[in-house]
Amino acid sequence: MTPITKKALQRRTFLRGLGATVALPFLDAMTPALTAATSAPLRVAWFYVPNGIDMRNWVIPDPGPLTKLPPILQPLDSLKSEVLMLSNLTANWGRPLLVGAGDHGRALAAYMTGSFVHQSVSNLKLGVSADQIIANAIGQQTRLPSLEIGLEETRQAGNCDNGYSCSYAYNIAWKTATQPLPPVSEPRILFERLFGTDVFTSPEDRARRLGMRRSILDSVMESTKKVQASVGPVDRRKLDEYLSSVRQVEQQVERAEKDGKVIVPGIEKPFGVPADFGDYFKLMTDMLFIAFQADLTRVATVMIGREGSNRPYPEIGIPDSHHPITHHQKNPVLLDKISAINTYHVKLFAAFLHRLLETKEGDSNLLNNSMICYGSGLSDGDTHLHDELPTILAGRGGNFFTPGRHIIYQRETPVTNLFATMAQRTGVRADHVGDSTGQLVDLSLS
Amino acid sequence: MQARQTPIGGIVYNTTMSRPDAALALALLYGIEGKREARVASIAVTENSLGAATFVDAVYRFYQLGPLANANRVLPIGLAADKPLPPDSPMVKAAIGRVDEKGEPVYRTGIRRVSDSAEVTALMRNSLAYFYDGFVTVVLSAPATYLARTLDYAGTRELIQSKVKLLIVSECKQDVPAMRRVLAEWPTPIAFCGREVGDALPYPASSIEQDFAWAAAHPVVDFYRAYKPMPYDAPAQDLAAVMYAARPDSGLFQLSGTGSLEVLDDGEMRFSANASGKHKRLVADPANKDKVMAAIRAIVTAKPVPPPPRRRFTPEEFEKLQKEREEEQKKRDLQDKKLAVPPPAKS
Repeated sequence: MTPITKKALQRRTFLRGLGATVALPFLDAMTPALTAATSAPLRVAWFYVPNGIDMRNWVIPDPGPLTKLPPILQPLDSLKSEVLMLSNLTANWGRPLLVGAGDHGRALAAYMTGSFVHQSVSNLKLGVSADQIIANAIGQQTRLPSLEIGLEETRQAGNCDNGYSCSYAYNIAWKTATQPLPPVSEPRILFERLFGTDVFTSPEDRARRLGMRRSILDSVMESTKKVQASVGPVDRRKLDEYLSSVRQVEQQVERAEKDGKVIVPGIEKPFGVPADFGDYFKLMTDMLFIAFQADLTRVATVMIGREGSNRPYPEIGIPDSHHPITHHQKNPVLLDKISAINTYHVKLFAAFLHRLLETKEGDSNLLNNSMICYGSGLSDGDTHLHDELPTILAGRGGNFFTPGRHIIYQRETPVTNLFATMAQRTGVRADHVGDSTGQLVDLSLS
Repeated sequence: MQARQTPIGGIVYNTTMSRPDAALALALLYGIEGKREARVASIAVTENSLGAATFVDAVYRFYQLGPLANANRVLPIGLAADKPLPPDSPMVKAAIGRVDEKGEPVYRTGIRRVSDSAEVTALMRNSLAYFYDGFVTVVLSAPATYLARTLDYAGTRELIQSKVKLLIVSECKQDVPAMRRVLAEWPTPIAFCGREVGDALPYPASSIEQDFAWAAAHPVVDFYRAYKPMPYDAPAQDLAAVMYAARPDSGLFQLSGTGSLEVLDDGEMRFSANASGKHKRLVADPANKDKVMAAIRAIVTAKPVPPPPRRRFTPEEFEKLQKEREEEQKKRDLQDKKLAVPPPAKS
């Protein structure tokens, strides 16, 4: 008997051209008949918020259905049926323990590795982060094993926090116990990592294309025409929309490079980075969206800021540096500013989730096939608390999780138990993620 | 030059909180902590109710004068809640259910539901990291179910080996497979505190009647009184185990020669002396009985001690500190500015 199939395109089809490779999104033509529901891959991502949260405006006292969200999470109101709020998780190795100061470096370093952070400026020693445990196992299935994105400049050397290397405060992803994966913070580099033929496009190709003011899509035009001819009208429309979004991102990158604005008076903006943080966030997460949509990677981390970030937020009327105001000493004026920053981040995050939700994938949507963790390694930034961590899990992990609820775990439950659960959902059989003690229960009610 | 202080040790206490000596052991632990002789690393309540954890938390708060420390310094009370919880015992009810003339609870507590307590295996594991190597003693006065589980966690066996100097097993009916596993795999020396140690050291009812008069209400006294009709003397088995954990070199107790501790099929424990054994047992010299009980009684009945006042800087010290901070901030700002300079345009 001949199997029923309508498959015309391989899942891993690329549009290739000079110095460019553009992966395709999930098209109907890639799905054999009758198997549409099971073929979509699962994506997993972490969004890390620096400097903790104003917990007054985050905590919900009772478990149960997510009905009324706290002020900071209001931007997620229309998405509350798509998120789980998880309370009381802990990152024990972030605590001062026998060392004392250095909470910011430890908070980030311990968050996804669940490991002891060796206090040193040069002799790094940590553990493998949850994303890299997953990427090491399934990364070969996609063009990029993982994506590390940062929305702040990176530093890899020097003493950033009381004897802790800057590597701890600036890197969330650790491939091995001694090898951090620095996040990409320049839009152009991220763009070329996604669409260049190699990890980075050769300087000659890039210069030639920029000199001719050509889009990366011009380079793959021939190959695009061939694919368009081989798919149906629905897929053609989907392909057009997808290529338009790639072009829009490319134009945003170009605009940012030409933009001579300053972030705040006296501080130059890094080359190629939009001056407005909201634009920057959107540009970088638009690229992450495309990477997920086109299955360029299934694993990503996004550092909204490095731990201890001093970024000001003039866009929302807060010219103060972020970190100093988090040492609020219960000053209501400072707490309100922190809340405003926290809410702003959630608003930008919500826009990314909306995009995933609105993007159809087979019979489902991209958010349904994702697990996006949003949180921090600190709860209260003033006292540097490493327990009761603010944690949101968005997406259904492929119809597995039952979102729309608030779950309060017992205290001291390692946050890495959540990451171990996410890893297991991706099919990775990891014995443990750092200090995890098992899987988180109750995430699914089915 | 000021001499460096000796690091303080920690005590992990896993209890079923089902006997009066367990409640007295809490008073002993917080009394020892008040004397800065050792710190309570963690307390895990297993095989008991939510109210039992609430009670332990009430005792902690009773002894804590001033603002409560956060979890960076003091970990929450653990409760094993992975199976249906039993109802509160009369002792627990007598303490946490006690109300004043306005109907308000007499004792403050922060545990009202299971999620206010800590998951016990993570708690016991996490608490070890707060102490220097070889400075923790674990007192197990409960089935070894959860302690055995910690051996499964990555890196925890090594953590135990480096942090824990001794596991003291206070005799009780055991979870047979779990205790056998602990006896076979636990990576530190093990000492056994049998029932006979407690039987030889009855805690006098007269102490309960007289020595706590300084408190209008005391949760440990309420617990003790509700166990059975007063007056009665309670065997001080857990008190002995905790006292040895805190003052191993005091001479109040001795460790026997080597032997083998085993768990019988019915969950009872047996210690047999032999030269090739890996374990020891706690021994109280009958001639020392009064001295030992006096030492225990003095700490158990002591009033809570306020924490040492935080050192305040003199105006000169404060000014110097501020200047140092400003200098440091300037340095960092300069570094940040250097980093903010855009890279030279590529040709």
